[in-house]
Amino acid sequence: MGGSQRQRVLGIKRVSDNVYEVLLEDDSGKRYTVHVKVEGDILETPYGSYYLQDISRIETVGEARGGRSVLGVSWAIDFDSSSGIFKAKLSLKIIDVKVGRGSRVARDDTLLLFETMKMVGELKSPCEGIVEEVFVKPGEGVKSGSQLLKLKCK
Amino acid sequence: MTILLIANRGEVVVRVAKTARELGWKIATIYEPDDRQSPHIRVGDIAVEVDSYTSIDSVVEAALRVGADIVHPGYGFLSENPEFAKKLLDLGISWAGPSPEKMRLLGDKIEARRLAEQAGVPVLPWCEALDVGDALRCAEDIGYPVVVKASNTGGGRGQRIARNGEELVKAFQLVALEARGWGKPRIFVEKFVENARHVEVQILADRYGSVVHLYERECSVQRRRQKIVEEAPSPLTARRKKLRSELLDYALKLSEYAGYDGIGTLEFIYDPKSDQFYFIEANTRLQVEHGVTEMVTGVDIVKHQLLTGLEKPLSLRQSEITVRGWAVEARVYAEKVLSDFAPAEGVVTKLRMPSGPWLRVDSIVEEGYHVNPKYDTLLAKIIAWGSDRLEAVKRLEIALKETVIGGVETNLDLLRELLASEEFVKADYHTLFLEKTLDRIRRKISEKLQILKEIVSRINMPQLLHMKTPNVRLQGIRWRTYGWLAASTRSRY
Repeated sequence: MGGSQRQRVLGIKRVSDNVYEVLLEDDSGKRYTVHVKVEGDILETPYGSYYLQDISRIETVGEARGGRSVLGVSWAIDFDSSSGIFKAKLSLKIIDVKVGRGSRVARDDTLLLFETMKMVGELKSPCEGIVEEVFVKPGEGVKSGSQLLKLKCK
Repeated sequence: MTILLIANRGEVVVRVAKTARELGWKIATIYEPDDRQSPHIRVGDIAVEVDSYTSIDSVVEAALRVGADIVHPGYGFLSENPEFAKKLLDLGISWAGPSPEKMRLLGDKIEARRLAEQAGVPVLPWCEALDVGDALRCAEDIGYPVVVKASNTGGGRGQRIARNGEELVKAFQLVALEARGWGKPRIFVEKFVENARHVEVQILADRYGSVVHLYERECSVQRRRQKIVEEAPSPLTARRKKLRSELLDYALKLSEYAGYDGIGTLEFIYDPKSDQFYFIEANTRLQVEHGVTEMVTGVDIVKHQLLTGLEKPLSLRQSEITVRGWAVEARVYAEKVLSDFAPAEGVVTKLRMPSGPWLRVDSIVEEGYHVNPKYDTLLAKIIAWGSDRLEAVKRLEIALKETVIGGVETNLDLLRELLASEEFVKADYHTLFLEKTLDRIRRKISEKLQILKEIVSRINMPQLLHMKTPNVRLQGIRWRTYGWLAASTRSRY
């Protein structure tokens, strides 16, 4: 779970049919209460209103980093550290591939250039390692979920 | 009966259609083959399929098919394409924009900058760069940091900041690549202003030489050089009479010198060091944020755009235009704020838009709306008016808290945090403000969501039992009776 959480929920009390009082404590030990209200399938809070179904689906930054092996190395590309595969998260156009099979790369070396939403982005190596496979060519358009590269980290 | 073709998709179609209905016109819309479900089609009387929203031939053909008298291009797509405008005009179809010559003249950032220099309007030190060597020499001359820009791109694309030679080489290559989508790129290097503010002036002009301004907007709150919160007037110039009249004078001077003949916006950068405005670029079309100006001036910008497009003379005099109160706009996008603003995809399964006094909501979204990340993911613009800035900001903050867009990730939490931030409330911001505070804001959002998630998991709600959600964390929870739950049991959840 997220490591940066500063407030903790100490308790929840139902104060009326659909209103709950939540007791919170922050890092300094200061306690305070907030009220949340359930309106049908909407949760109204001092922070804003939310669709209840969405809240349970929320994945916070801490969880995404700590709990899983898939890293978002770029806003458009995911890296699965166990298989070493880079996958497109969106439809992309590959502009240039800077490495080939067997290339040795250092951390932050540019592996390829891609374009999406009319923006050009760079895919940088998340580690020092060896490129085991390149699945794409410059000029190629790839769909969301397509494999781009395989990298073996040292 | 006048027939208007709105050559766009999304909320701008709904906006333009409102004015066209008021004028008693018929409305035609267009759609790409895989976009025929988009709600923008339903605001019109007839819809025509086109190959693509950016295919000139196909959209012109659609205009001919519906017998359009006039075409409104919206923003994005073909809205700044002079060839498109010219083709329509050559066929006797009016164009809700300036003449193609003026679009060409002001739409090119390099040409517009030359024009501003001739008109005596200040611009930042700059030079055109044909290759990387030019760019390096130029940056040495004017001094780092610099911005590398392409002359012909829009929407914040094709510009990158470089703080040294190494960054400049990279920036030059990336900008050149990005600019290809807009035709032949010409690249230039411009001095980068630290702590800059982005203020722009709305212009209305006609084909007969009349030009008026509708005062200014400030759009300094940007992410990736794209605006997300805008306001009118500018908190910077509203307090400084002389500075404001300088800005407005520059805008009128440049419009008149260029012989500008439609509605448009002139964008300026304010450098706090020199206490001076510099012209950066012109937008020869309607802007996303035009609504804040409409709220404080009471002027229907789209109406003037349509009527001047039909070659009617401008019916407004400068003396008739005043600013009343304050308006602030927040743009709601479907995007993943916590994962680098990647566009979000999905179906809106729950919708509650804010309503009430002092609000304006320009929206395309409805329950069942499919957010397609192939297109711009702007869902809605929420605008609040107040008699002063603080009132408007507060009203917008409340409206954003009421808003629920379920089923797809949005930037609502980011907007809520922003509006409530001390910097925003004090208008103590600049164009990189959001980027600099983003980590802090993301952390706050993350913390809040974590708390909400925990609250939801700990209160007994029958609604949740009926949820069809793939989430595993909620399954297997032992539903508890109400009352205080000891903190020590928390870890089990």
